[in-house]
Amino acid sequence: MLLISFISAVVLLESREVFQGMLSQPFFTALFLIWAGYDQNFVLAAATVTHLIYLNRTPSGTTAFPEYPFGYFITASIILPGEQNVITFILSIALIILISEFTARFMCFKRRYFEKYRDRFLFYKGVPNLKEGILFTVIIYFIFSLAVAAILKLISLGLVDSALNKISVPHSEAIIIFLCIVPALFYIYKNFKMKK
Amino acid sequence: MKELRTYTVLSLTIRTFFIRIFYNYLNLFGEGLCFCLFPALGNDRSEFIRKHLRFFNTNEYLSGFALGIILNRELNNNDESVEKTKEILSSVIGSIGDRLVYKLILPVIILTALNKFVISGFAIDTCTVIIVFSEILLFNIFNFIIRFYGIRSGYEKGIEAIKIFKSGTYRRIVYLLTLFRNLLVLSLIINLILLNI
Repeated sequence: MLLISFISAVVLLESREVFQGMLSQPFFTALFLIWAGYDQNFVLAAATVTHLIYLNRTPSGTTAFPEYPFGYFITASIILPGEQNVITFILSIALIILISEFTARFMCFKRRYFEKYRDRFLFYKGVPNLKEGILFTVIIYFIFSLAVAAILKLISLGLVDSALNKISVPHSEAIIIFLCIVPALFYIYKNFKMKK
Repeated sequence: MKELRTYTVLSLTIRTFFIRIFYNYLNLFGEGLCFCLFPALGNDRSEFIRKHLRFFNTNEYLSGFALGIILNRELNNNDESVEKTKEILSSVIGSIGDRLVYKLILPVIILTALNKFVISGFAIDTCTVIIVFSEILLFNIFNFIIRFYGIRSGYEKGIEAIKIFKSGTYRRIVYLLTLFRNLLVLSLIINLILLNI
């Protein structure tokens, strides 16, 4: 769980703070989860649904933009290993949305602390230390990830023994495809509406 | 006009990758801008900080243009127009960057990968891995070049540099990306339906 929390912190750092080279996007991180031994069908389907839900959103610093790369990575790596069915899949999508939204609020809270650099610029006439800034951010993100991972682990442990995980759901594949098609149609609708 | 050495441009480019680390609600990218411009300023930093530690907004991918244009104004003692230029850049670069990267390039890259995931039935094969890695590589080459070119072009041409986003070529690129993005999302829906059948 420590390793997952650390990688999640790095994912959050890359997606919102430094570089922004798409290395934290679910379609890319999903490959690493598969190589780590996760069920490829569920991991890729979850990445597809997550992307389609958030494809129409433009990241903005001033608004609370859902941190879906982080939400996806931490949820998929904790909830998705082991046996899955469509109910736990839907539950994991709901958790991804919930964590992404919550992380957006957390980011707003964290960013207020960075006004301290203004003092350093103005009163010390020095250059803010980049290493210190990144380290500070990674530590905060790591603590946050650890807390989220602990909550997810508890949910995951509850799911393993629950009846939900053992129900055989008919037309599972069709349900997953339906979950992909709905946000894709909404995306098209939004694009054409915007054009008008 | 002073020559901006390649090493300085490279140093500025690398710094733009960290511009968001200083993002805050007081001046948005104001602190990030000061941090990024330091290598080009020499010793007279305190006056620069006093002047530039104010509200400034940009798009991180196109921040190179903003840096180059502000440097052009600063290093060539064109003081009176700096504030006005920053105001223009804050609104123009932000909206162009968001539209180009987040509304077009990002969806095209993601939808290409998602199409491949669906075509292969949510399983990975060598082709999927090659496509995803190629996309990441190409995007990061673009990510570096647009910042490097932005600084160089902004410094050499000043505010004229952003006229590239009004050119016919740029409009054609945007049109093609829009078309491609819409085709990709339609093909994704078709592939999903075919997968179910």
